[in-house]
Parts: sequence; structure tokens; C-alpha cells
Amino acid sequence: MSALWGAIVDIWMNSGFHQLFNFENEGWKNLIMIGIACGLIYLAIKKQFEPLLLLPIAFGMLLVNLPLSGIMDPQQNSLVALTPAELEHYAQGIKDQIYPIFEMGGKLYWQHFDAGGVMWYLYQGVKFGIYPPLIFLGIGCMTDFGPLISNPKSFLLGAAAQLGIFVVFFGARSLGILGNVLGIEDMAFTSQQAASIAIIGGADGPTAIYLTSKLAPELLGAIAIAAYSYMALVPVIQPPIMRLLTTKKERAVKMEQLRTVSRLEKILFPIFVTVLCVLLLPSAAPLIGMLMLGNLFRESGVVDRINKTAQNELMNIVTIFLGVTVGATANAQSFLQIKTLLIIALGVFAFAFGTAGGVLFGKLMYLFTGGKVNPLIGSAGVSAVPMAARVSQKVGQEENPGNFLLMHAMGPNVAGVIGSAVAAGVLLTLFG
Amino acid sequence: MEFQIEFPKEEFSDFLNEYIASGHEGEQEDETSGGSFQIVEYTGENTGEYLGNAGLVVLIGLTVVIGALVVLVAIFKAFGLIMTGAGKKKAPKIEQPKNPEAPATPAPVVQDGIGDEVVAVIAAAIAAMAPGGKKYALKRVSRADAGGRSAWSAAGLADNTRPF
Repeated sequence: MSALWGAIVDIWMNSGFHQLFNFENEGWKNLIMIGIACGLIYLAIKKQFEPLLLLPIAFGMLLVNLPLSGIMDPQQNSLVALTPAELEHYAQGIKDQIYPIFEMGGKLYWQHFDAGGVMWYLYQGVKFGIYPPLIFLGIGCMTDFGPLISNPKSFLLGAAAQLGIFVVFFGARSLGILGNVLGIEDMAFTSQQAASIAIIGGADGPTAIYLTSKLAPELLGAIAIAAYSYMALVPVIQPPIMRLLTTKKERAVKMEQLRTVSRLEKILFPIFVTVLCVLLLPSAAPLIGMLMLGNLFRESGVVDRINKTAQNELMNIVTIFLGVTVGATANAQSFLQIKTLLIIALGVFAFAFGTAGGVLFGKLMYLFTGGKVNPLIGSAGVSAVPMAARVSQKVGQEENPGNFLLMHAMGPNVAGVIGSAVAAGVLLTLFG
Repeated sequence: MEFQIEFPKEEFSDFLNEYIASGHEGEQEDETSGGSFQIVEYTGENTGEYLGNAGLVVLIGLTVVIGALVVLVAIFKAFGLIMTGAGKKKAPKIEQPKNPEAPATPAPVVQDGIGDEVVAVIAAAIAAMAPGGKKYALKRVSRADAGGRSAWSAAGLADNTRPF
């Protein structure tokens, strides 16, 4: 009877429940993380906040915070020196896990490895910057750059909306000074961390994940969650800023119809953009290159099968891997910090300043063109395709129901994707 | 102030312990790589320099991003001008011979029971499919003869003859 009781106690002591409710061992942190993960799952399903990414991110977060799951444990490698006799004794049952490396001093050295968790292997695609460019390939296949080609001035709005990135970089760095005054060490961010937080303002999930995985992988979970949450909140964050910075007259401006773009222009566009951007910023090559390759698949019209695969099956598979492994980086130790709250706060500022930058540049264009440009299309320059363009359309139509800004806003919107990839390239060049 | 120091992996932990023991603070950048150690120090005296460096990044970043996209604007503006210019030159050549024969077309004769919307859709479909510049007029709209093969037999026939 006592043996049975002992076994039950042993099972309990080795269970995740014991770890979770062992408050001396900070199991409560995991409980909080499980609560946050469930909250995010609710937002993804009920409120449909970018569910395609938020749902796998939230579930990855849930999995990694269940104690002892080992799902994100790295692969362990060690060298073991054994004589043949020791090998017979030692290697019982683990023969398939060890293999000889070299012989020295009469002993054979064996490499012994313990396999890592499944998420750790999948995470290598994030760590080595493989998944985000693959997602960009799919985005390129889905994006019509026609509105941008027919109105190249839209590029400027896409550039101006990157203001949020650089303003927040400055803000994140300045927090170090504030933290020093207040005596809170956790408020200081390195340049690499500040750059990774700032890229949230690019409103482009894959770009944010790519840059963060290169510069500050320890912040990946918090930055990815902030970026995708705010992208889902674009219709809430942007309109008040747009209304605040524009007059009724400006919002009611009807824009001229865009000219038709020829197929030749659409084919040459990705080639020109790739050559120019990659020559200027070689570190932006993986993102810009894959985005434009996808677009060339689309516009060439001769690789329909590849085009469909890249924007459907491939992108969906990569999205699953990316989402779930990024979520799995958000363990209690790295996530439950003051820095996470600061990242979430800085993320809103990044979005707000990006929107303001685009709208203010739109106002400049309104002035210089004699009122032909509606400044509302500037806010779409923050990427978040096509949500930001829809917001421009909606706010414009509130003022003038006969106004259709959607296609005009798509120009700055897709320019914003290029702009944020270029901005990521700049930050990678400076701090990579 | 930031310093980036590269170390061989085995020396890394010794260095880290010594450095922290000597009263500095530091954090390992990436646990798995082990070869790189980043020390972040902030001292009150360097506030100006510290903010100046951050400001410089803002300036460089915005200049490069806007600069790159301005070049793209110039390229595609020029490209657009060339393309629209070429389009304008070609357009009159196609339209000129067609202009004399543009008589007022009589209203089409429509069989009873066919609505105006159906006529409009047929006319639009023909216009959309018409080869460049040619104009067609809809003269008569009537239902096709109900005789001939049923839909089922037509489908069967199509299925059997498709391989050939």
C-alpha cells in the first residue's frame, strides 16, 4: 500500500501540476502566462484580431508555459570519453543517440546528444530568418502594385509613414535616461532592442519578426504579439489621428481616377525595385527580394501554379510554423518583465506617429498639388495591407459618401510594405 | 555606451563572471550562440552624446528610406510618362478609319419576356469581348430554339468527346 502511495506521490511530484502550483519555484508566472495565452486565443477567435497569426502565436505561448512540456528545449550536445568496456555499460539503451567523434589517450570520444523539443527545431526557421522572407514571397504574389505604379508619388507617403519607426527608436533609447533618473534598470533598451521595438511602427508582422530575430531575439514574443495586436487595432488607432490632423475640406477631396497600368510596367516594377533597393541596402535583400519575386510570379502570368502555391499552401504552412514558434518564445521568464509593458506602450506610439507622418505628408501633397490629393490616403502608408487602406476609404466616405479612396490608398499601402522593409534594412545595417 | 566584444566560447563564461564580479552589469545576448557579449552602460555624464547618437540614427534612417523611395518615384514617374506617351501615339491610328462608320444604331428587337437588364448584360458582354476598337450593335435578342439535345445529353456528348 505504501509502495502504491509512494508511486502516486512520485507521479505527482514529476507532473506539470506540481510545477505549476509550486509557487516557490515561480510557478505562478506560468499561470499568468497561461491566462494571457487564453486571453489572446479569445481575442483571435471572438474578436478576430489577426486570427491567422494570433491564434497559433497564442497557442504556442500556452504550450511553452505548461511546465515540463520541453517543447522548446534546445538540443543538447556533449562529448563523452569512454573505453569500449565503459561504452558497453554506459550506452545501454542510448546507442542511437551517440556516435564516435575522435580517439585520444586510449579513449574514444563520443558525441552524445539529447533531441530538443519540436518547437525548438521549427524555431530555427525564425532564428535564421527563413520564415519571414517566405511569407513575403506569398505577400508579393497577392499584391497588386498597379495603384502605386500609376501614381508613383504614393511612394513618398509610404516613406513618410515610417516616421513612427524612427521616432519610437529615439523614444526607446531615451527611456534609459528616464530609467536612470527613476532608478529602474529594466527601462533601458540597447540600440538593437530599440530598433526591434521601433519596427512595430512598420505595421508589418514578418518584417518585425525578421528584424527582431536578428537583433534582439529575447524580445521576439513580446514584439510579435504587440505588432499583430496593433495591426488588428488599426481601425481603432488610426481614425482619431486622421480626423485630428485633417480638415473637413481636406477629407472630402475626391481624387482623379488612376490611369491603367500596362503589363510591361507591372513586370518591370519588381525587377527595378529589387535592383535599386538591394544595391542601396544589401541587408534588405531577403525581404525585398522575396516580395518582388512573388510579385514577378504574379505579373509574369506564366507560372500560375507556382504563384498559387506561394500565396496559398506555402504561405499557410509557413504561417503555422512562424506563429506557433514565435508564441513559444514567450516564456514566463522572458515575457513577464517591465520591458514587455514598455514594448506594448511604445508599439502604440509607433503606430500613432506612423499614421501622423503619413497624414501630414499627405497634407503637404494636398498643398503642393492644389488640393488634388486627399491627405487621408497618407495613413495607409503604414502597411497593414489592406486594413489601413480600408480605414482611409471609410474615414473619407464618412465625409463624402460618393468618395472612393480605396484604390488611391492602396498605392501608399503597398509602398509602406517596401518602405518598412527598407527601414528594416537600414536598422539591420546600422545595428546588425 | 555600448561595446560589442567577441570571445572564444570557452573564455566567455570566465570573462562574464570576472566582469560582473568587478561591479559591472551585463547580459548575455543570445544563450545559444555563447560567443557574443553585449554590455550596456549608461552614465549620466554622456546624456548629450547618448541622445545625439539616437538622433543621428533617426536622421540617417529617415534620409535613407525617403531617399530610396524618391529614386523609385523618379524612375516610375519617368516610366509612366514613356508608357502613356507611347499609348497616346498609337491610339489615333486605330480609331481613325473607324470614325466614318459610326451610324446611329437602331434599338434592338427584343423578344417578349426578355428584360432590359438581360439585354444590357448581353450588350456589355459583347462589348467586353470585342477585339480592339471594333464596335458591334445588338440588333435582335430572342431565345434560342428549345429543340435539339437536352442539357443531359449535351453534357454526356461533351464528356465522351472531350478526349478527342
